[in-house]
Amino acid sequence: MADAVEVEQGCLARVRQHFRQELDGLRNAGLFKEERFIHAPQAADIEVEFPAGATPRQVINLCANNYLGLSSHPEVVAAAHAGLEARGYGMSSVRFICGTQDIHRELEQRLTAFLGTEDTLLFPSCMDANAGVFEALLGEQDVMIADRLVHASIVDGMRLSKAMQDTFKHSDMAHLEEKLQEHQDKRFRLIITDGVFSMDGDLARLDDIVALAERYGAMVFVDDSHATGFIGKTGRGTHEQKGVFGKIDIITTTLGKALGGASGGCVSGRAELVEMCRQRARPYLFSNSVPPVIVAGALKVLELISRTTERRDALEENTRCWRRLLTEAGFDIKAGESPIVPVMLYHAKLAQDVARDLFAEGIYVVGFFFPVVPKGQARIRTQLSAAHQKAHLDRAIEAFVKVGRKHDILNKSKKAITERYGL
Amino acid sequence: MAGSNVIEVTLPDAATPTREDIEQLEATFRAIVDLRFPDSRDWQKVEEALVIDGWTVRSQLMWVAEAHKGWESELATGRTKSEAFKQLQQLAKIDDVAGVP
Repeated sequence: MADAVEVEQGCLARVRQHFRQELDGLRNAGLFKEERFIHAPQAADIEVEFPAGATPRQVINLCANNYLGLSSHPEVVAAAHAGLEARGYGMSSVRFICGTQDIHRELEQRLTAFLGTEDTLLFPSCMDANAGVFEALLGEQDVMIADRLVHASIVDGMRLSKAMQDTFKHSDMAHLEEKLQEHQDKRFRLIITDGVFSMDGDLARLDDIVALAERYGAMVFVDDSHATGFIGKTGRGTHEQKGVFGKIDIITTTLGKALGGASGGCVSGRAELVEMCRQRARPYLFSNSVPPVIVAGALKVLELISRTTERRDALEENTRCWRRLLTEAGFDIKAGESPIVPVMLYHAKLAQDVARDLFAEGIYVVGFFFPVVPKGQARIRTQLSAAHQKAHLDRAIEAFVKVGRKHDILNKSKKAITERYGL
Repeated sequence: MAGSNVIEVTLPDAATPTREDIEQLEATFRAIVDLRFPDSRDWQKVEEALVIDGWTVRSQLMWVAEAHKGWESELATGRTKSEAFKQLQQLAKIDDVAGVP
């Protein structure tokens, strides 16, 4: 008995030792992720405790996916409270046993109308939607052809499918066409892309993709998580912006960003495909759905954004303003039209140093570097919100300029920055 | 010295096999031996059970290509070596960049 205890302790010691070394490796490589505690509702101004134990300080939030500023909107909060009262806290069941309420179906129907599709199925998150959709729909006779910069959850979902995996160079239509020609022998071809790419903020060339899909008999899948609610004239998404509304076979999107920012996601598209997900998608079958409180909040969000485009218009204006301020100040930004505005710094440590100095100046942003973005492409990703006022952006640019001067990166080309700091 | 169940083949003096050559020769001979003198017929029982269960079963010799980097690893199979490597390339490339949430 004593021997068994010693063996167990020895085993645990080895496990601990192994993972301590792994964690040290992450720290040494600068890849260790630390949470920052927010002491307030999500908003443009938040109180952040960082590092842990420090006195919380007021900062301007430029890194949330709170694109429409609805995360703490009073009408959404009130609707969530009402939903909690009317339908309870949890379902204690998966959807197909006894975990579906009338409001789940109502939300699916409202999302279908908003996205311009035929049917919609809710998932606990868009990560789950992407994890389940490919396995449910495709088999070994099929091929998935994905843009090389698609979201990590799509990559995970593709890996769970038996279909052949292939990729095309980011937004390279000639390369996609080559791949479509190469895979004409497959039963189904599915082109997979993000609507708005989360790293660069650029939009997929959905008009060209749909044209290629029609020419080569392929289906089109779009993860529109960074677009639903605000991209396009009425905020329906990238397919609206690119003039292919109603032509996308499968859309996945999230309730965890612009649509209230809580959690939850969906698969929306051709009726038969959605129904097959209802029958086969494992994250749907083996997990509770979105709780009633979130469903009620999301219904209110859809009502608000269907009533007026005021918020997406304000976001568009903030985006234009912020891009102009950064450009005039001499920062190197990724061109585009989305509220994801990456400030390019190329060098990993420089990106970390600039983010730290901006935090000290009351601006909350995060530096991203390899392996999160390609080598030599380190940047600070700024994200706009309809909740930002002009005063927020003025204060933010003031801090950016101060920190930019300190690191001598204003009006400097990529060549000049990399010559000074390296890649 | 070779035992009674080991076959030794003398290579020509000019032959300087690489590690990969040796691995492939070994794999080829192992496949021939396994086809002719399988160490057991247990796989047949598995195959029969699966067929009874409604599966259509087939087995074939394939190339395996592996890649390792840190804690990540990828493995692909193919009827030809280039087919296996092509798939391996896709698997390795598909999350070359981790991306941001």
